[in-house]
Amino acid sequence: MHKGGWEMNVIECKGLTKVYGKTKALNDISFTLTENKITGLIGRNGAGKTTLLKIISGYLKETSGEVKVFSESPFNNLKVSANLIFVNEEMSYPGSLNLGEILKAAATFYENLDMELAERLMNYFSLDLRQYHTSLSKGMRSTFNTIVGISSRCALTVYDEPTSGMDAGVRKDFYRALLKDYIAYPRTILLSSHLLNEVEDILEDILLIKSGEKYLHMAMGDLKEYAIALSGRSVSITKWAEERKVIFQKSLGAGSSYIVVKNDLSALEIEQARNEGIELMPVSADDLCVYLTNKTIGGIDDVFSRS
Amino acid sequence: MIIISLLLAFISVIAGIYIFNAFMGKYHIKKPLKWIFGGYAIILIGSVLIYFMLPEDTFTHAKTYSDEEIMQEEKNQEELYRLALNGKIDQVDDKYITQQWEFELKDDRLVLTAPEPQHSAVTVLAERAGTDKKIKIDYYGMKRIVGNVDVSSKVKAPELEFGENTIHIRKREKVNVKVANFSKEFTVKQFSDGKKSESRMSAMMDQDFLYMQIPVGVEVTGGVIFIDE
Amino acid sequence: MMYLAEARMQDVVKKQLQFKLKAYRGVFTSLIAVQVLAILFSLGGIGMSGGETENFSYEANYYSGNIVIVLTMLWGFITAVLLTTRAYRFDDFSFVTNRVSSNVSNIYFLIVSCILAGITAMLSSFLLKVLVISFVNTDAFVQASVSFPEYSTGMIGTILYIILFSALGYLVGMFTQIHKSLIVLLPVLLLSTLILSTGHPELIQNIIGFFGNENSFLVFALKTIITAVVLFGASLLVSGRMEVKQ
Repeated sequence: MHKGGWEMNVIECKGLTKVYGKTKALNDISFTLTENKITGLIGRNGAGKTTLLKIISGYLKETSGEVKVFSESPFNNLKVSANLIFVNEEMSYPGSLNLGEILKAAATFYENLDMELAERLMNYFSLDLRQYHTSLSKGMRSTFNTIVGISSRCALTVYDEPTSGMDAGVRKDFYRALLKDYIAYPRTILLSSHLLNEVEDILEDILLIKSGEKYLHMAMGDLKEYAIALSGRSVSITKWAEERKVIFQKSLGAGSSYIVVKNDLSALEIEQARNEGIELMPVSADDLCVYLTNKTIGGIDDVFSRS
Repeated sequence: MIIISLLLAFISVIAGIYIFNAFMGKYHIKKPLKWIFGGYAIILIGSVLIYFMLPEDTFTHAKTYSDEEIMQEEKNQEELYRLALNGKIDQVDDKYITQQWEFELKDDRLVLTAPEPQHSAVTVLAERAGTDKKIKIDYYGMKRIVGNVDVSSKVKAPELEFGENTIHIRKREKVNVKVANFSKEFTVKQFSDGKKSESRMSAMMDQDFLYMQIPVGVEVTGGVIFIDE
Repeated sequence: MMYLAEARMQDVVKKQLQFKLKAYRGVFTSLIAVQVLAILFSLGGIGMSGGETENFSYEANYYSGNIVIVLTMLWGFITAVLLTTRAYRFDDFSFVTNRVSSNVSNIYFLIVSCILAGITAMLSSFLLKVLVISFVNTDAFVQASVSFPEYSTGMIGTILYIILFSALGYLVGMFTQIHKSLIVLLPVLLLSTLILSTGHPELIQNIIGFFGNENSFLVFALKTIITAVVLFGASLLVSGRMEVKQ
């Protein structure tokens, strides 16, 4: 994943913690994001994705730990603000300005903003420059916000659930537009989603958080190899499960089981498993993320199994 | 009082916030907005221009009177009347005489008539002077100050009708004076040199009177007050 | 090495001010509405006196732009409170900002609006006079002559009063943003102090007198400017650590 040469850290978090009253929204998170990568921040609802993004964007102040964006603390930082755009569904614009005027205003603040691109995107997504932000539907508003996000070409572009409310078609188009513009004008993009399958094609790295804590941070390609699924007769599966950490398990009925374990099996072990009649299968990144962020290793089936 | 007004202010602030909020966002009146701003500016500047183009005599320039000055003026008028009544008319300034008449009698009698009640017309004071049949009448008008403006000129001298041996005082129309007073804005007044707070009092007593010089020996009928000799 | 845009405070504040003058033009609509309403109120006169004797009666009506000025001061207060509410406070965060630049541009915006409001408030006294002369039937229109320097001083005085009120409104608004309970608490506290101090209204009278009885324009200007700076400064301190909780 290295692009050669030395890389600058765009975001650095060390022991980042955010406490609201008595609940810890973020607990001791440490990670580093390097320049010009698209990273997906994945986690379930309430995992602390939005809190983390808001701290990075300087909206909220960390309770403890350290956060650096462009080597500076983002809270109350004009330089960080000038080089970062935070796109979320709560973006507020004055009700008196229409979309065209908002874009013009954005262009005065973000010097890299490509107005032509913005207008072409607006046109493609059937948004009228004379419409008002408050009169848009939720999906249209998200579309407009993401257009501002893409066309402003900030060194760090942060999206929080950018596609909420959008049609499936629009989502695809948006991610494609994001990727195309990213390739033409590389920048650092951090986007959160609770649905990995939607974004996995464009992500280079993934940062998975669970209950306010960092779970893993790795390249997308590595994540796809991270785990392996074993499926076969329950008797043999149980033996395999005893020896290693099981990420997910379920009963397939009729005496057979399915487990997901970390993919560190040696060639010999794979051979052995096959001989025992166990089927080995890759686990999709999407499923893996769901399994990893589950509270229990049995998933929803546990609730319904009586044994 | 203060609490009530503060409560009112508080309520209007809250109401204002809601109302103004509506102005700020929800109504996208863009085109008319320009007209509203432009129209207001034109109206304001236009009214300044009109104001300065108004003819010179539109305004009476007010002399600002203080409460003390008004009270002093009323005192002066009472004093003047008292002097006249006590036969010291020669001590009264001639400037108060706003009209004079001379009238020659046919006989040795004078009949003075006036509408009832007579005081609605004017007070008539008289002294004996001379032996010919000539009567001299002076009208002493008084200053009337209303809303910081001297409206004395609005009060005309009574009209007299002369017959052979009669003088008739015509009934005077009641004088109604309306004054529009443009006061200085408090922010202007605060830094003005004349710190004197303007009075809302008025000096307007009906102290005016006719002063007659009637020859000795003329028999007088009618409401005449002869002054003490 | 990535290219990072430079962000100088004064540039950002300038851009934000331009943005706000355009985006918050509704402020000026409400100003016009308030002043037109105030002029209509003023047409009835701000006071009258009258009297009657046997053959003389009079009625003196007093007109002035006082109502317009007082309501414009109230407008300044409300507008400032409004700018501190979330809807407006967070608008800045959709673009380049930090808390200082956001507040400073708000303050500049308020000052610009107050200057405009003061000028229109004072000019509207001419409109009032023209309207009274056109529609009110009287024997005499009386006015105290006001010299140009006197009028200009009054206009600047009016502007300073409006700025003072908007500075107060901005601080009050900022306080209520710290915690929602302060929206209720603050007026309750104020009113209860007033009720407890009935019979001793010296405090309020002293505050009003501190500005209102100052006949030297320079001292007045100094007093209002220093007070406004203190109030705005306090708002900056209050809001400096405020988070953006949308």
